[in-house]
Amino acid sequence: MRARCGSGDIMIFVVLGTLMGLTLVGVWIGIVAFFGEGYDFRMAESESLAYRLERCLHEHDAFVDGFVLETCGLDSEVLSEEHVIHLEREDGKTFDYGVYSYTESCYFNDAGRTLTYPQCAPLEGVFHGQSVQGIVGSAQVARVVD
Amino acid sequence: MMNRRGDSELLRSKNLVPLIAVLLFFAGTLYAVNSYRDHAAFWEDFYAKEIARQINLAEPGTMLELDVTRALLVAEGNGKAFTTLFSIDNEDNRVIVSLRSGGGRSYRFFNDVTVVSDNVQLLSGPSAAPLNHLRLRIV
Repeated sequence: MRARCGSGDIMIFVVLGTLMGLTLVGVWIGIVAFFGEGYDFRMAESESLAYRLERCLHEHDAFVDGFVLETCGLDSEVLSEEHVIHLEREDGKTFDYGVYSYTESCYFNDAGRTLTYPQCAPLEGVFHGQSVQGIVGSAQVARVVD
Repeated sequence: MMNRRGDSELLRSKNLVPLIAVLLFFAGTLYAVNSYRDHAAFWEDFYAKEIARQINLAEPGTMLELDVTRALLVAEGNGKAFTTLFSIDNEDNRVIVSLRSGGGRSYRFFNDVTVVSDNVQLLSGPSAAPLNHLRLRIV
């Protein structure tokens, strides 16, 4: 005879689920309080990327059609998921790559504290006779591997 | 005298499901908390990111030599073999650091290069800082 799932069984799962959730929150708060949130590397990575791009822009023109990041020795696949590059030249031309919505979230006040937001480094200079301004950002986090 | 009827009631399938769920939950929680023992998770995170930074800024033809003594001390505490602490996935541009058995952290580098890594060189054992080096050749 098959057992039927009554309201008592549902209550057990509700109570268990609540207890597990509370335990998880408690464990997470304890870990963060004791070890911290980890090593925040976003700004350091953004500055590295800005440095690489700046060196490249002296040699190559990123605002021409057909320009690819591989010209600068950068992997476009890696930079497409958790990074942003937004450059504006004085003649109005722009170069954008990566997650475009990051260009706005770069300026959130909480970006320094919340690891899901990017942190961005400025990039400006005169390249091939034209002034260029922009930002370069990263929101990459380390992945857990098995 | 054993309560046979009570035992069979306890082992009924509808009671087993929440019991197994609770056991799995606590096993998972213990596993996650264990990864923070000796700050292993922190140091995996740190080394993965710092190695990625050095690769990002390196030119092809560069030889990088990094002091990894702290990582070795953590790995030694966790009984992890020194030859399997650091690896590079060139297909996915990923640095993988594992200082404990059964897990680790990875971080991607954006420099479009191939990285050849030698094993960690233990010149005088893990306590003889700063002589424990990881060599990476950027191609």
